[in-house]
Amino acid sequence: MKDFVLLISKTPEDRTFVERAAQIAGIPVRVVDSIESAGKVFQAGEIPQAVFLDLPEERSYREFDQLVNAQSRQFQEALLSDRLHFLISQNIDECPYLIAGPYAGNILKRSRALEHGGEHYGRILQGTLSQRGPELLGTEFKNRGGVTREFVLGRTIEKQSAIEKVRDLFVEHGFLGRVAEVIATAADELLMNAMFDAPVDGAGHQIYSKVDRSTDLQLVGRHAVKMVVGFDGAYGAVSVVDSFGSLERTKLLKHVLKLYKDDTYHLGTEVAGAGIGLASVFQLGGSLFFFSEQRKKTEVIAFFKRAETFREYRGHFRFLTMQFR
Amino acid sequence: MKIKKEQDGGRLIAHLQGPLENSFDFERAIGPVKGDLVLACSGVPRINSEGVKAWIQYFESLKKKGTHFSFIECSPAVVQQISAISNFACGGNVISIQVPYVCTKCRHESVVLFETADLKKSGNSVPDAACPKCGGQSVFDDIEEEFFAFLKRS
Ligand SMILES: [Zn+2]
Repeated sequence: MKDFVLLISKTPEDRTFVERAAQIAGIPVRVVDSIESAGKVFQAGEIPQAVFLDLPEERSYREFDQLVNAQSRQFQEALLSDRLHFLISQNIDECPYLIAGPYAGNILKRSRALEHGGEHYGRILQGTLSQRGPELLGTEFKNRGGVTREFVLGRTIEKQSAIEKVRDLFVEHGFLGRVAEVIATAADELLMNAMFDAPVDGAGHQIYSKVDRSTDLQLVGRHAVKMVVGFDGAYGAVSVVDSFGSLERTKLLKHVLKLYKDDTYHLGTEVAGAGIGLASVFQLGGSLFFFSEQRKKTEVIAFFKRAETFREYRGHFRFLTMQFR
Repeated sequence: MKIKKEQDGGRLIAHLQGPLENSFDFERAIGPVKGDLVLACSGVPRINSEGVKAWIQYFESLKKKGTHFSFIECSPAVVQQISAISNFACGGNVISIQVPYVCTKCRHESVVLFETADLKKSGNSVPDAACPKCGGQSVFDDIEEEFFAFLKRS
């Protein structure tokens, strides 16, 4: 694997964004303006560390698919979905082919402010290339003079007071009230996912999926749930870790897609559990980073832009990053 | 979440207070409804996915029973759900909503109450307001197409 990031795009904003992100991750960038030109790079036997691809329409996706299929097996195995970053301007529901296909590891939804997001995404990129998982909150905020706070929950009923504390913490530190409520909701969804959706038995069946979310359960041993929240001048984040590693990429993406259908999501009275709450965090304007080691652990981190107004917060670029090992 | 009830002639007004989380039991908290039900939603700061489920289950069951219900003073968090989820209002009438504002001078967040009928007439455009804290200019603070999406559907 060669030490470079390949950007396939004609857009100057993409270039500014990816160059900054790659600089933070400490890797040089090579830019080509078409999938055909990318083919020439691949044919020279060079496998990049990561590929960023502008995806304006389904045709580009099909073209990329053909290109990957034309490569050697060794190439295909090296360039997993973990290393592919798709840049889209449309809503996620407008590219179902991406969700259904095998490549959707990392999806970036552009906004006007994309070029300013490079620094933040650089650390995400670093996380995707690291083998031991992101541990982003430990390093990300502490190293840059930010604040982190850790919550260890002993019982499920401690969730309520923990998320109130999260809300108050962000308000105290100057986040908009509405954004603090969104962050509290995200903390709630991440905790519910770790407490009730993640636990599986030896056969991989969910243990508590049918259990009412107000049930008082002890969180000991493998069921222990840790939440870390952190923030600095630019971002706020919530991370929740469980020790089951049971999250599935296809299920997660299906829920994200469902939330976006027709710009609204029509819920029946019987709503499937795992994933829908996590997907709703993305809809509320958060970015999501999933790191899952099968049967070992899942870490979900939600990031929120610190902004002067809610409109600015909503206008920020968002990403959905999924690393399944 | 807590619910304060108030009988007003032929209608029951239920004031919702607090975040809507987990499987909140509306049926038990509101009790039997004689006549119309009005939900006053200004006190709901956030709703999680379980709260959404409980809400839809309750109002769908009311609809099946033929009970008339409507929503007033919907907080931004409630409006966000009504706009994002096409069946969140379950056929109930959304009478008035709290529109979020932010002061251009001191950044104070506030809300201004609007009747949805008036919003429809004005094509969803809301005028600037005076900041309740400093008197400066306060402006609408959300994405218009997203926040008011439900008005286009009804
Ligand atoms: Zn002011």
